[in-house]
Amino acid sequence: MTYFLQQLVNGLTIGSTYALVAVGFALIYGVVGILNAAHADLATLTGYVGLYFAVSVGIGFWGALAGVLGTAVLAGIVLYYAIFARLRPDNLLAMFVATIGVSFVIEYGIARVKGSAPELFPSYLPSGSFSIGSVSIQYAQLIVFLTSLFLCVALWAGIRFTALGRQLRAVAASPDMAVALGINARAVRLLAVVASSLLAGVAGLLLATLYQSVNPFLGQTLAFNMFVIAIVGGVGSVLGTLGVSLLVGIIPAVTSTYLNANITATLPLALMVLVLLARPEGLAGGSSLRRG
Amino acid sequence: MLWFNLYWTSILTLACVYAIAAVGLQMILASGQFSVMQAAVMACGAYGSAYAELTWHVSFTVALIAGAIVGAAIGAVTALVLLRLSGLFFGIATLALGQACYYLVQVIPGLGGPGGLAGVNLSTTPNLALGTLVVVVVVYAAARRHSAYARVLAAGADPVAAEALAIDPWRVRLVAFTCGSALAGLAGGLYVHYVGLVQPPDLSFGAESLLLIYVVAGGIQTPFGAVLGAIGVSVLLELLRASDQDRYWMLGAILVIVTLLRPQGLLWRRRLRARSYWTVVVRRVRAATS
Repeated sequence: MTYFLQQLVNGLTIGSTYALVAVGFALIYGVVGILNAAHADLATLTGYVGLYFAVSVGIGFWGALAGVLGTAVLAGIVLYYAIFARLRPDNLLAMFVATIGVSFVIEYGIARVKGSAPELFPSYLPSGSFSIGSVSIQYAQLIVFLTSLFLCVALWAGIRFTALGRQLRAVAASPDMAVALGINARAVRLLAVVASSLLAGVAGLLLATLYQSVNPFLGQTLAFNMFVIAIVGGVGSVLGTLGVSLLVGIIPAVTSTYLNANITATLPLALMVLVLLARPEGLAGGSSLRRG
Repeated sequence: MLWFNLYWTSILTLACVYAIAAVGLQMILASGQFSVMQAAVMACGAYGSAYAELTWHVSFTVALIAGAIVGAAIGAVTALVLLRLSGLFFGIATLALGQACYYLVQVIPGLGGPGGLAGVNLSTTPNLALGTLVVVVVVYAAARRHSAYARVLAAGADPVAAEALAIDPWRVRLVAFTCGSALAGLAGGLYVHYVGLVQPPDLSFGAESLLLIYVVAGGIQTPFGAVLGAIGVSVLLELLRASDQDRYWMLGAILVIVTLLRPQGLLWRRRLRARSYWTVVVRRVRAATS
C-alpha cells in the first residue's frame, strides 16, 4: 500500500507537468483550430535555453526563468506568423506535417548542437522531503505539482471570467461573427498561441529542474502523452484536460510494479481507444470551450 | 543488376520499397482518413513475413503474401474499430495504435523482443522492388479509371456528395484502409527481405513521419505524387550528403518549406483549370497582331 501511494504521488507530479503541455495544445486546437505537433518540443527547447542561461551565462534561476519565458513568447510569435497564419485552417494534414517538420528541426537541431546524450541541469528546487504517514513527498514534487495546478486553474479562470477570455471563446465559437462584432481575431489567435507556448515553456523548465537533466528527445514522449490527453479530455476543455493528464501520469506509475514497462505504456492508449469508441468527441465533448 | 553503383542501388531499392507503402498511404489519405500508423503497419508486415519464413520455412513468395495479409488484417480491424472517428481524432487514434504496436511487438513471444527478428534470406532484388512498385502503380492507376477509385475520392472529398451518389462512404473508407494497409504489409515483406532485419524502432514515430513526408511532399491526390515524393526525398537526402546527424533536421526544414510553399503537395490536380497569366497575355498579343 505504501508503495502504491508513493507511486500515486510520483504519478500526480508527472501528470501535472503533462497537463501544462496538453492544456496549451488543446487551447490552440480549440481556438486557432490547428494541430501543433511541435508543441511538446517547445518544452525541450526551453529546457535547453534555461540550461544555457543558468549555466553558460550563469545568471541563476530567475535569469533562466526570464530567458525561458522570453524564448517561449518568441517561439510562439514565430510559429504563428511563419506557419499558422499561412495555412488554411481546414488543411489539417499540411499543418500537422509542417509542425512535424518544426519538431524535427528542434529535436535533431538540439541533438546536432548539444549532442543527443542527456545533460545535467542544476537543481533549483529545495532538495528535502516530508512524510505524510509512510509516504514521503519531496518538496520539489510538491512545488512542481502546485505550480502546474495553479497555472492550469489560472488559465481556466482567465478563459472563463475575463474579457479577453470571452473574446477567445467568441473566436472559437464563430470567427466570422466575432470579427463582425469588432474582435481582432488575428490578435486573439496570436495570443492563444503565445499563451500555450508560455505554458509549454514553463513545463520544460519544471521538468528540467525536477529531473535535473535535459535531453533533445524529451518532446517525443511528451508529445505522445499530450495527444492522448487532449483526445481523452476532449480538445478545448481546460479542466477536463487537467484531470485526464493526472490520470495519464498515474496509470503507468501505479501499474509499473505489477506489469512489464511496455504493457504499462500501452494502458493510457487502451484507455484512449475505449473513450473514443464510447464518446468520439472525448469525455468532455468537443465544444466545452465554446460553452465555457 | 546494379543501378549506377552498389551504394545508389541500395538507396533506390529502399526508396522503391517505401514508395509502395507511400502509395498505400496515399490511398488511405485520399479516402479522407488521416492515418498516422502506416509505418507501424509496414513494420508489422515485415514482422509477419519474417516470422512466417523463420518459423514455418515458407518460400519467399508466400512470405511476401503473409506480410500483405498481416497488413490487410491490421488495416481492416483498425478501420472497423475507428469507423466513427474522423479528422484529428482519427489521426491521433491511429498514432496511438501505431505506438501500441511498437510496445506490443516487444512483449509478444516469438518476435525477438527489443532485438527484433533477423536472419531471413535476402531475397528482394532491386528489380523485384522496382517491378512490384510499377505493377502496384499501374494497377492502381487503372483502378482509378473505374468506379472503385472514383468512389474513394468522392468519399474523401465529400461524404455528403458520396451519399448523394448512393455510394456508402463507410465501405469506401474500409476498402481503402484495408488495401492501403495491405500495400504497407507487402512493402514490409520486401523491406525485411532486403535489409534482413526488422526491429521495434521501425515502428516508431520517426519512421512514420518519413512516410507522411513522402506522401505530403509529393501530393496526396495521385499515387504518382507518393512515388515522386518517396524517391525524390530519398535521393535529395543522399545528394545533401547528409550524415545521420544532419539528416533529420534537414528533413524537417525541407518539410516546413515544401508545406508552406505548396500546401497541396508538389503534384496536384486542379479542379478548375484557370487560365494562367501567360495564356491570357499570349491570346491578347495574338488578337492585337492578327
